[in-house]
Amino acid sequence: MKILIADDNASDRLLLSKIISKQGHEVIEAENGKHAIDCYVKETPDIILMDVLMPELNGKEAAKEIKRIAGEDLVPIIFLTSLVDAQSLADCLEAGGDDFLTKPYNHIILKAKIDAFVRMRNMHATLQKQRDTIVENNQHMLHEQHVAKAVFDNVAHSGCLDASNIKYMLSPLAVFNGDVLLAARKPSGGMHVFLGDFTGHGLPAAIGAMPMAEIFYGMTAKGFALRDILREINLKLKSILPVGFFCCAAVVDLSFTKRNISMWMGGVPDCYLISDKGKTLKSLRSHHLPLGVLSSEQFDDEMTEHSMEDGDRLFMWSDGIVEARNEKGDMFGEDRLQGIFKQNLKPDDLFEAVQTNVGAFVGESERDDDTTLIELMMIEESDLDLSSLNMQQGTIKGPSDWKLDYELGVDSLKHFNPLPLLMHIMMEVPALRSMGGQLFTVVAELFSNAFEHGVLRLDSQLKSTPSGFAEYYQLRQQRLDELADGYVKVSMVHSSENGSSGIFTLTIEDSGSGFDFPTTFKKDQTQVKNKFSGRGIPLIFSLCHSLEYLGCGNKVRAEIHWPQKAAK
Amino acid sequence: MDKASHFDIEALTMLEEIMEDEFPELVQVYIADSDPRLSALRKAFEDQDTMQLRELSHSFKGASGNLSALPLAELCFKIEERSRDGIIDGSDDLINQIDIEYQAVKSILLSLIA
Repeated sequence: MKILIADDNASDRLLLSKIISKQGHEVIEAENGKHAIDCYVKETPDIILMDVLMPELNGKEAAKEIKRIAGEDLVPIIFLTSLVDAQSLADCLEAGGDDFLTKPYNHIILKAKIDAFVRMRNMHATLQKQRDTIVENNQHMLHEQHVAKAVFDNVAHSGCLDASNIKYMLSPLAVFNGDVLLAARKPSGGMHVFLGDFTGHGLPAAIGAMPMAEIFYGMTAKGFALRDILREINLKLKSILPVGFFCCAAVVDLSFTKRNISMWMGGVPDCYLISDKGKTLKSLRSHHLPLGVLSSEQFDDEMTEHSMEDGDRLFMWSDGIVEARNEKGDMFGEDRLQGIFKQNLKPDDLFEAVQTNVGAFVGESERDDDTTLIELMMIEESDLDLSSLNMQQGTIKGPSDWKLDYELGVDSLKHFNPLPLLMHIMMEVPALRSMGGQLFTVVAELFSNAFEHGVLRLDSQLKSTPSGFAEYYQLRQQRLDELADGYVKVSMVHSSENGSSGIFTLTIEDSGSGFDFPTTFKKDQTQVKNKFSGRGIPLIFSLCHSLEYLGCGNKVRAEIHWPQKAAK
Repeated sequence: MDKASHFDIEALTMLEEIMEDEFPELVQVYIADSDPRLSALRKAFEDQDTMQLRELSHSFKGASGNLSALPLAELCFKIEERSRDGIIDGSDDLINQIDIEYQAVKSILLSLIA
């Protein structure tokens, strides 16, 4: 250790210096207070022994200055004094001294004190080092969280949240919170909106949001139906989240053309549907368990439909809104929330009113949950900005302008079912994917009509009685075995306008003799229903934009348009 | 000369042990510091400067104490206390006593290093 002795008395200095050197320490000497400060700055001693009464600057003043310069470094100062009254000794410590040593010196006590301060210094140095390490680690962690938060925001609060029919608020509670807000335009028109609230906060809550957002955006862009997306998310969360962790969610499939929404709610507070220029409030209640709780077999993807007119609004929120607390610890509550909507405010002002009221209620008190709020309004789809749609499709954009001619000969017809292949080709178009079910019905019906009634010339009337049904299948097998010539030609054409709408045309032609078809059956469905029940035509007709028979009735053309208009 | 009436013998022996061959230097430094203190004390008394008297006697007391010259330190402490309380009368008598005591201490110390 390097020890500074500050004493104006030369003989005292000499004696002390000798004692300390003998104990193995390096000694620096100063003969007054000013000199002591200079020595401290120049030599940075580990411990200082300082006389109280010195010329130039006394010991107490010098001690204060040295402590000031040392800052957070520990420099023990031991006052040397021949003063013996209690107050004088106490004054030494008051002035910033760490201990005192009375004259005449006792070298045993002096050694013990120096040893004690060496230990304290080492401890302090360790403490400082550990503190610096902690600070460094903390900064590192904050930096990592900051980067992760930026990634998270790109994933979890993206999509078309900036669309003109959406208003939203995300609370800045933590770096990460458990709330997720997702919105995406569907390739076939319309919009998927997802409000999620994970149990917990911070990184654990955010981790679940990442794969969820990926599934939501990926599957929506590929044209999957919302039910399928929910099933996939539920399965994913169930498999990755620990028991007791889950995601409450309110999920909306909004159709601009059908003027309605399909909703799935699990574990979230009631959502409000505001219609009739703000005059009518319909409360929508959650009927499902949160995502990530049930297995795929138990999961219920049933959705409820609600019609929405232009200007109608849907309000969704996480429980942070209802459970926001004021300084007294009272919760905002559903009554206060409903109260806002009963004030006959202009619909345009409701969102801000909720924000303002909750904000004023919470005041300066600490927020204890994430408060997320979203308003979704029904508008004309043409009023939306197209850019968000094009951007999100990105690299997974499917084929849009294509044509396929596919002819099956006798052998193929006997041994091969072309439906999976045809479906596969159609499902590459994102917008068609959400209509997979109805497309399958159309293709399957028309193909089987062409094959069975056309190529195999079976009479559809046979199937009207149970006995005829059996005969029909017997005959079918027989004719199939005997089949020597014939064909079915399938032609598919898809075209799209800017990726915002498209037309899919399916033409199927067979080698049969055709049938007597009406020229104008679009207008009169009852006639169609009666006369062509055996060919499943009414069902197909309802699924298509148009359906027409050509030539002698051995060729049928179905057109399917997307986005789909409301069913009348 | 009676060493025991001017020093704490035990402490003085220990001091010699600690200082080893630097003990003569310690004695010389002490004497070099202390000789001027006597004339300084007398001057301070003539000037009726209690402040100066107090500082000089305090310093003299400390140095003498460390050399285990306890009776001398005791005399210095008396002047220091009186000066602190602003008393000057009778201090000339104490200064005379200090002078006598110091001369005794000085000759004993010098004899030790002779």
